[in-house]
Amino acid sequence: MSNSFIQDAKTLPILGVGLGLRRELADETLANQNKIDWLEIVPENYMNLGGAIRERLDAAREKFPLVTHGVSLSIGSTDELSCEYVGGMKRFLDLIDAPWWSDHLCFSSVNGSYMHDLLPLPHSKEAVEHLAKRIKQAQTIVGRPFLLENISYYMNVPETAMSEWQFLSEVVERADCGILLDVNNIYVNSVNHGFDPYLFIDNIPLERVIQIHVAGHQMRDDVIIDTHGSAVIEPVFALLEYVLKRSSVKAVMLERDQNYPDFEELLSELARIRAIAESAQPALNMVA
Amino acid sequence: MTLSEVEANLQTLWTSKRSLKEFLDGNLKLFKNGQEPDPKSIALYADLISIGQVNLMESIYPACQRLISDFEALVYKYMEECPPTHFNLNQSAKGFSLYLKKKCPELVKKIPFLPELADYEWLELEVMEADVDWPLHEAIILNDPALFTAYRPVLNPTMQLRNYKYPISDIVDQLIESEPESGENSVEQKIVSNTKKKAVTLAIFREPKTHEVKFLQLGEISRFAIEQIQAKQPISPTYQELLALTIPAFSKLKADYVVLELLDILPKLEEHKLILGSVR
Repeated sequence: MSNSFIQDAKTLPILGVGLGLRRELADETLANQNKIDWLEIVPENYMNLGGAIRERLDAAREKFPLVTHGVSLSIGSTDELSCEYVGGMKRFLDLIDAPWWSDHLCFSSVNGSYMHDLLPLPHSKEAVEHLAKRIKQAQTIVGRPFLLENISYYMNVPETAMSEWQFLSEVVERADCGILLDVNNIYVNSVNHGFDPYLFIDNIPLERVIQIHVAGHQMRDDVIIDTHGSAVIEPVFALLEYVLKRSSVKAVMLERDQNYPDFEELLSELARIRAIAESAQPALNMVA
Repeated sequence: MTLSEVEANLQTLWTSKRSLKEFLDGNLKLFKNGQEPDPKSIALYADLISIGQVNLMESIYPACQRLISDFEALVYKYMEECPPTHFNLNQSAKGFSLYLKKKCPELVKKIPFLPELADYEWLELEVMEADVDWPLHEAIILNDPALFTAYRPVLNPTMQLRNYKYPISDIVDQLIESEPESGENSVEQKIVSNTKKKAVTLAIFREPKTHEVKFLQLGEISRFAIEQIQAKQPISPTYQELLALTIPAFSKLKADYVVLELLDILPKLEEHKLILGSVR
């Protein structure tokens, strides 16, 4: 890695349109190499684990390029960065030879205990400084480009002093890392917190967006929750198109983690994403 | 307020049911005036975290869940008293058996085999996911005395041995074969009322090709032999050494009988893949 993420990003491979590798969908996923360009895996579900899990990983490695999307880096935590986790991540990324790795703009542990959820941080100067320092540290240890994903959040955290897009922009600029832009999360937050999602996109450094997540969500009382448990809705596809027309991303991925439909339905969603990608960024259309 | 304080206060509200209630009742102030987070949002996050914990515990401990009347409440207590300290979500569930044993005397008095049942269910996951290197081995038939001194059994590296006081496999089988019920005549209640102590030794291990987790009940001689092999890892005793260790341990039995028993058992253990084969 050089000293500039933007410089490094130019050499990252274009992966195309991908899907998350989930145990419940593994057989169908692995059998559809002609419709899926690459797979994203949750590293915590594979690191240091054997048996059928390792067999699934090996089968995926044989057929697809892989990248990881972690849930436990806890990059915003004020605890020490977990050497066990980051060291394990480095070894795992070396094993699968992922071109980049990603995790969330959140904390999931504090005072030595994990809450195992993506928890929101205050959008504050102190948090920006803290995150930038830790991302640099993690990126240096791992030695591969790191992408930070914008999360869905359901509360305004005390000490917040800037908008979400300002916060994300400052963190990635100061840390010199990439963005994994989740367009569903932008939509969810725009509804829950009442802002214009296009304003969000217009105000982040799109040249740092390497990967995009597309997903569905569900209503719970009067709040939209990012469940990855339903079909992608039109306004989210529209945000995807808007971002793709203004950026040069390397990969787009459909997230589905529960309430699994018939696999054909997921393939249809992937085809829709591919069609949008083809018109906005033809280079992304790997299968064609 | 510093980032560290914000995180710690949110953690308190999200993971302590008592603190959450006090906060929602307006009796706990952790943030500066005007900075108090929306109670509904705090409750939502607390709920999301709890749902994740309950889902995890239900997936790992389905049999325990059937027998514990308020499983959810117990999970909340367990997670509060033994908060997860590992990045791997499943590891959060690891200490449940010990927690039952040490912190739930009333429940264990009512269902005395519960800690062993939880241990059994945890081991199923642990063995299933164990990251092991499968050792090299060959298939030989012990039909020549020279082979006894030259070869050693290769133990399945995923194996865990347990001496339970209760017939845990039978309990699990009864639960698997029945639909969840409630009430006095339910399967669950009958299991709780009727299960008597019966010491069993189980070898829990993973089949190398299918990845199936097996629970094999061992008799006294096979248990002793497996314990001897396990104790000498990473290098097993030769078959001759194994016989030499086993015969005196069963001094009340005729030596010939012990030898024949062991020679009968070893191929069976190999068939089950508890012993993978032999190595020089």
